[in-house]
Amino acid sequence: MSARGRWFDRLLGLYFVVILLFLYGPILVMAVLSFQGPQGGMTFPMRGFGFHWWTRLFQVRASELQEAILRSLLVAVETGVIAAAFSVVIAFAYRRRLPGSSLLLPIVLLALMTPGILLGLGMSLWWRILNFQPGHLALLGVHVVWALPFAFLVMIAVLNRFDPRVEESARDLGASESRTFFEIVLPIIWPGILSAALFGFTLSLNEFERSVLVTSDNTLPLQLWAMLTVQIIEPDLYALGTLTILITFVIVAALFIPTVIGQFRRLGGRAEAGEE
Amino acid sequence: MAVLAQNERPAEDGVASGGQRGTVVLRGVAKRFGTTTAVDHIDLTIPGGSYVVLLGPSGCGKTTLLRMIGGHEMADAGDILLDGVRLNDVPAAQRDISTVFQHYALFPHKTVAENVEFGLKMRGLPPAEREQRVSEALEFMDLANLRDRLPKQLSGGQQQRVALARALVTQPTVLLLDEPLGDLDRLLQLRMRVELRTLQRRLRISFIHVTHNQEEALAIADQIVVMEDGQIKQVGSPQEVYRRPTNLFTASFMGDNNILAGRVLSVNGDAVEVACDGLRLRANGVPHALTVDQPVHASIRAATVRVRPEATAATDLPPNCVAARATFIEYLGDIVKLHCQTASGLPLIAKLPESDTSWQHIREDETDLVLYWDDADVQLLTA
Repeated sequence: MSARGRWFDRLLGLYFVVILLFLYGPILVMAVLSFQGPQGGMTFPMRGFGFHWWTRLFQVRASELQEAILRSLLVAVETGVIAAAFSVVIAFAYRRRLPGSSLLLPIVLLALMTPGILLGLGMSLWWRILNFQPGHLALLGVHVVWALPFAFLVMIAVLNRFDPRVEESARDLGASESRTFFEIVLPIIWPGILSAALFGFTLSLNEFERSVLVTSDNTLPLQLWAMLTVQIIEPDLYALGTLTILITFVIVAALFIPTVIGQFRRLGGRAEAGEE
Repeated sequence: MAVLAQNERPAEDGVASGGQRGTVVLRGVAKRFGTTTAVDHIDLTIPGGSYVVLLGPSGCGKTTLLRMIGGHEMADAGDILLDGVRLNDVPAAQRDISTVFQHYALFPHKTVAENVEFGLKMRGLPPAEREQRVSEALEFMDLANLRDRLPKQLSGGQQQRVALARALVTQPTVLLLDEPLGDLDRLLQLRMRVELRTLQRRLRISFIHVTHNQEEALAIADQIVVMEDGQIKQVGSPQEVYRRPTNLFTASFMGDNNILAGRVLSVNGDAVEVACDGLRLRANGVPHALTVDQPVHASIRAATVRVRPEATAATDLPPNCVAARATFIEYLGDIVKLHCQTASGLPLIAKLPESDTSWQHIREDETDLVLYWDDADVQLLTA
């Protein structure tokens, strides 16, 4: 490679690092400030260093937040399960080109394009028109609508890699439709379904704008927002933010690690294969 | 290979009922995808216990035809019969037919033994019998030591044997094979095609094999079915299809043929003379009636063209002789291919055995040659 090309590559590398800092800098600052000393404030300088605010988070804040956390976890689990189940069904309908399946993609993706606050407002109005108090079900509704396009795209990608001849050969060997699905298709695509569910879980856990008009029972992000606007804020919120991001990171890692291991095994497996 | 007793059918089995089991009859079978016709009203009889190869370029409908026989595609028209029973409305799962799919389509999450066992499990056989038949099938296909491996831990040839064992363990009367050798490297292809043929002879069931490789078809088949654009162009033994192509498509698809366009000069009984661009051909044993001045194509196999170094005036030569020079000598190991050009500019190819050392004295674009062949080696094609 020419010297000029090398310089250009270095420049691109630097650009990448700057972008990363720009994106993740605030998170890092927050993480660092959560280790502020007891006398420290919401900004630099650090006055001492320690786990004061983390301890406070678990000892004092936890009881305040407990209800919101439990509510968030519940709706996140429900969202993940429902979005994954729906996306499997829809993705199969899409792949088999059932009548009307050409409309599936735009309809499902519409939820991705709609401004979240409008979706929340609409859901809330709809609920009131039907003379119900919007509550947990309404919240679950907006979260599923929000998570479904992502879960659907994950399943489309999974099914694209799935060789339809494997299904055909199961039928060829005498398997009924249901046995083909449960004995052959499901065991092959379950990691994909799990990814779709985890996707839905994470999206629901962090969801704010769709939820805010729908429910009066706060989820964790709503509770945090309420605390930020009403109370005097202290660095223990930084600790909570850092913790939330850590949890999200762990889930995202869980999404990708099976893929990475799969790749690794595939490569390893090929090397191992007996020679003819 | 070990012997799998259940899979070997005694010869008397089919003879008693007047023929081998596994006879597939197609009557007016058609399939369209949107506006394209994949299979265009095909009639074909595949005799029980024979090895039939469907041969044609990609998109000729051979795989669609195979999938309809297997029940993975529904025919739009016509009847598909197996041993006299109409199959059209029988789901794939209930047909007495197994398929070896392209790229094998093994179940990636099941071990070799579990893959082979699957068909028996679906048929509700008790575990003890399943185990016995799986063991025998694995033994038969020389896979016993790989029984607990996953498909991705196997080489291509091993995967193919698993696919065969899985398809055969249910004792079908017809085995369908979709490009079964396509994933293998060339040396393994050569070996596996012999093994496939041997396997079919032992099992005495019908094998229907789809390929685009003419050499593979010639090597394996009892009957070759040449297909183009959803239609059957020719059916015959390898020798018939190779030596006596009945149409232009077969003649060009089988390769190695010099194909010349011309007109009939004279007809004298079954001896016909044809003029092709200043070259006079004579054919005998022409099966169909021809009239003078009718346009025809002549096909001359490259391997029947012989060569002698000789400088002659083009006009002095009798029919089926032509003056030419080699423009390129292609050395292929066991044979040598001479790419020639006649005095009038026609390209002709002659194939000589490598052991026939006369080609060594021929110089490209320099040595004057006479190319000649027998009357019997000229095929006249009207279609």
